[in-house]
Amino acid sequence: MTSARIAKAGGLAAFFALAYGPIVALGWAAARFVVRSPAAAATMLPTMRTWPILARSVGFAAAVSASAMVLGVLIVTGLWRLRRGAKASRASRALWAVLALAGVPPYVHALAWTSTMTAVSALGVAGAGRRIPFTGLYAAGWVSTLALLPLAVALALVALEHVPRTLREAGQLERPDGAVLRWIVLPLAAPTLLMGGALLFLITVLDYSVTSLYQVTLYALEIFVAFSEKNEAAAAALSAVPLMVVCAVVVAGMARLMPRAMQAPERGGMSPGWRPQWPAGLRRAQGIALVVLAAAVIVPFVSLTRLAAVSPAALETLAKTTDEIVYSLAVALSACLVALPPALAAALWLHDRPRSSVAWFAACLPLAFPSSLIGIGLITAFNTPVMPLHGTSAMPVLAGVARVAPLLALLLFAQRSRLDPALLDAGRVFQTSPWHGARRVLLPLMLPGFVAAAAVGFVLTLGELGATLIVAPPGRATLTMRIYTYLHFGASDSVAVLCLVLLLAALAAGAVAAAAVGAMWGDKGDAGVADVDGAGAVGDVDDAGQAGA
Amino acid sequence: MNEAVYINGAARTGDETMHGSRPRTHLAARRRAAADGAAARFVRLAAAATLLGAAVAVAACGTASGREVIVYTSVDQEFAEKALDRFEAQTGITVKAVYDVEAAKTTGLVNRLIAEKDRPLADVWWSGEFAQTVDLANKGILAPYVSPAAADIPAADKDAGGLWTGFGGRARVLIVNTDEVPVDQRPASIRDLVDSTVPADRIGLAHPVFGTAATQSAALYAAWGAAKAKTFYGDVAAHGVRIVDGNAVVRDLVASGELAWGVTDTDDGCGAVKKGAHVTLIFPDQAAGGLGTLVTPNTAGLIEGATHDAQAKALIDYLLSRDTEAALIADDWIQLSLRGVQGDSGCALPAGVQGMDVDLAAIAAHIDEAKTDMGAIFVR
Amino acid sequence: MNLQITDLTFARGDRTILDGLSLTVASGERCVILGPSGSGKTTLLRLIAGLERPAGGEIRLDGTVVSAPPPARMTPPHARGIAMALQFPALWPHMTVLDNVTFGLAAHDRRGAQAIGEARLADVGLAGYGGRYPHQLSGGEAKRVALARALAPDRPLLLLDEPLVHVEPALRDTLLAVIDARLRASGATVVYVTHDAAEGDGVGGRQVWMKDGRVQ
Repeated sequence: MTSARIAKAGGLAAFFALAYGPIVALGWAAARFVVRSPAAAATMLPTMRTWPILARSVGFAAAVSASAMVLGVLIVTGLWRLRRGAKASRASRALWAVLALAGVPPYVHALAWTSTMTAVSALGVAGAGRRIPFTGLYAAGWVSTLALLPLAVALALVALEHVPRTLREAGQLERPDGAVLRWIVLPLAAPTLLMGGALLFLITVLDYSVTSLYQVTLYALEIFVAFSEKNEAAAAALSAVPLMVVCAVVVAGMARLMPRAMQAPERGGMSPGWRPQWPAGLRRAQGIALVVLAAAVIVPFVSLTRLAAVSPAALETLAKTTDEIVYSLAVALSACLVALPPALAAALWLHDRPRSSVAWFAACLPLAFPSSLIGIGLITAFNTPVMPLHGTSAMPVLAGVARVAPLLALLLFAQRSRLDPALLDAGRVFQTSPWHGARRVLLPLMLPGFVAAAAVGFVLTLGELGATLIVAPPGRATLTMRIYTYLHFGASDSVAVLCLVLLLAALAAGAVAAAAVGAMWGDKGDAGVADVDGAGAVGDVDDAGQAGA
Repeated sequence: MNEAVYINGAARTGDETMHGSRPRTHLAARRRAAADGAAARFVRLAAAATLLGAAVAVAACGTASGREVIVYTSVDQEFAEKALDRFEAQTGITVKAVYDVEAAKTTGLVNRLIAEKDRPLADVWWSGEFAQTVDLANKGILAPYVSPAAADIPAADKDAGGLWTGFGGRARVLIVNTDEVPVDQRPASIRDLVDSTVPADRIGLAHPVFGTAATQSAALYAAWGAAKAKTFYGDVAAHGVRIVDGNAVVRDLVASGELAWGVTDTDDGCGAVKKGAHVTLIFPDQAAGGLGTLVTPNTAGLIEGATHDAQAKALIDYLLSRDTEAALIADDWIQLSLRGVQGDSGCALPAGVQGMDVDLAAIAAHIDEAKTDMGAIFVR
Repeated sequence: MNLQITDLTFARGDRTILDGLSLTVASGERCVILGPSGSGKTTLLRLIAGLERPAGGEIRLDGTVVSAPPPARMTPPHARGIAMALQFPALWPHMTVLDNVTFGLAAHDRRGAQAIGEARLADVGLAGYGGRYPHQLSGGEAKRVALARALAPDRPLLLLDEPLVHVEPALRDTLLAVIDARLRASGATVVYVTHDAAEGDGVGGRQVWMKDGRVQ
């Protein structure tokens, strides 16, 4: 076996150990618990009481993820109309900055919307002295959808812009743009759109922070009720089983779609400006969706800035939390750097077996693990004489790694699939060793993917709470933990200041990701080259004919 | 289509190598150069980031010394931090704290302690209430330590075996928006949750499965008997009282006028009063011979197998001292004292609160049953 | 349909691709555009089709301006009365071969569209291929389906971009005859791009040489 293959195998082993380790450790503890008290096995099954909650959770998550995805598609297709010539690719890259907002924790949206609704009520919109009722399922659904919207837009962007340009143009020659969207673009983007929807579903169904604010009880909260009732991690793990089964089914669906969704797209994508003319009805829907997006961006921003600006203690809050800010940045940075090599190994492994649903299922299943269980599992695994990592800063890093490694593997796989096989073949012909080829050809070509994946991992780790909270070393706290502390204390101005810090960090990472994704799609950063690339694509059309003749 | 893609790719490469039209080779070279440069930059960036991460890790481990104590506390960080800072200043012992977060429903730390049982990191447990502490004691997480500072604390507020000691206290209190509820319609009893002129959807109660709201339900189980208490909470649910995320949320919603009144803790209520919100605080069931309100003491205990035993005992002695109790009252964390420590809570609480006539052990004994019922009633 | 191109300019970044190109093709005329790689042939066809917007000059179809620089309004490709075979087959992978060919026949009922589609498939020697999917075709077969798709809607202006590349040499004459027959039947105007002078001779009609973005 060559050293390169050993490295790949080692990286893959590390990926599965990091992503599955905590849950396997907790599963082992749960199994021993069941052996000790066999009656507890019954808690794995939903009861008469919890069945409706499970059904409501699935319905709620399905509705929220579907709405977010539909809005995402409307927004992306709506923005295509705004493109003008050479500015098109820049506009497309700017849209990626929206992704940075995915780093804003959902409870910030909840805070912003509740205070906005109260302020609007105070204006007497609903009649003097009456309040706009903002609670229950619809409020929870609205806030959850808006919190997911940046991610949904990014996923829709990936799905729709990867529809090969030539296929779209062939349709444009024959039918109006509305028909081209309906019959060609959407069907071709469907696997990726569905996969994105599944990802949003997982995020929604595993989160209880927004829904519980609006008195909507979902199954994720039920797991915490089990924690609270029994104070026994293994019991909570057992009660999480029904939810994890639902998530596993969704992941299995994703695994089936994945090979099609992640298929190497043809070059070009849609980037060089399609300015479609949509039918009036679609235009209206897009207009509404864009207004919703604007609200999702502006309301938290304005509300946070207003709260932070009126706070005399804003600077004081910042000074008091410098340690947490620095610690959060360091943990998030370390987590994505630690996660990248194993995620790369997993991505290459998936690339070698692109049609294996089993491999995809194995790689994606960790997305279905609730974060609090990962935290408890990490303690189970690492608070031992053999591996006494608990109590050190390695733990929050490992928590971040366990959360983001599967997602990074998917992103890196997508980047690997986009590479021109001819370039890699040429590398294999001329390389002096596999390492040489990997170092000089494969890795540099994948660089944009690394940067984008690192930025996404960074933002997600920055916002992680459930697992970090349980494993943070004594005397250390992350920014997100601190925000929750202030949230409980009712110091909404301090919450606002720290959320703005989080937002800025996420925006910086998002800008890096946007630049990297821009490079990933072929338009290099410097002015003019982006346009030359388009000519390259057209030139190729001419040249291919010649070469083929 | 795959074939077409392949043809596409091969044809393109063929062109670049065979025809090599000048502008495009030039472009390709620029791209390669950019990629190489970027790779080098990436390596440097990665190295710098790794160093930074390592530095943080070293910093985190580097301060480990004999003169430190690790405390897990469910007391709000805002309050606990001040008290622990004073301890550091007085003794020179470094305190490393792990705080709980409301989002984890104050169960995060308890589960963490249980998960760490075989190799505890913590030395001291300081809780804002007692039910979880009793549970931890029952699970063998706590070690006996009878602090000399607790001599004047009533026996009913201490564990007989010395596993934990209660001190200070917060009480359940009705918080009423003075603009929304006329004086003659203000509630005076916990029973007003189902018997008020105010519409039920404008009355708030924190989720009775969690925190002090859960403890209060267990206290009613102890005082009234399970059947009566369960019926009462069933009525609360059926009546349509708004069940919200926590005591702080009750406070905020009443302060903003979204709710007319609700049940919260004295610390939350005092916060609103001091911020100038249009609210007033009323201790429920204070009529002579009445039920009284639930007073929840703080509790402190030594962790079984604590690494820093001496420092841990010093911290417990400090927490249980009369001075600390007075300071915690001044800081607004607690409002009452179990042993008559004087302190000004500064939020115009009615004097001479009448507590419920049930002991802590009895309440703790009902907590599992009450939480299970509350889960069934309120987690629909 | 009569095609009139005046002083057409097109650039990407700092690279000029078409440089003041003018060309007129009369109604029913066959115009073969020949030229080396990179001379702008494909870009010219894309501009006529409305897939690109010119930086200067204009394109008229039957006297109506359909393409001009901003702020003029562009006529969208499907409304120009054109059909086009792109150089890459660009078959939609989620549709059958027949659905690909009949996609542009929205004006016909389903049965009528299918009959036309099957006839065009038979013309290019692919009778019975209608139920297959694009991934089940060879490269040459895919090109022929793309040609059938361009011929199916009977539009008055036909744009063919290297339609016979990747087609087996033995079939080329047959396909040229098919194209010839369709053009005779419909009287459509054609602009035919190829780099192969012999193929251009086979099409017949006027031959135009392009170099560096201009007509020579």
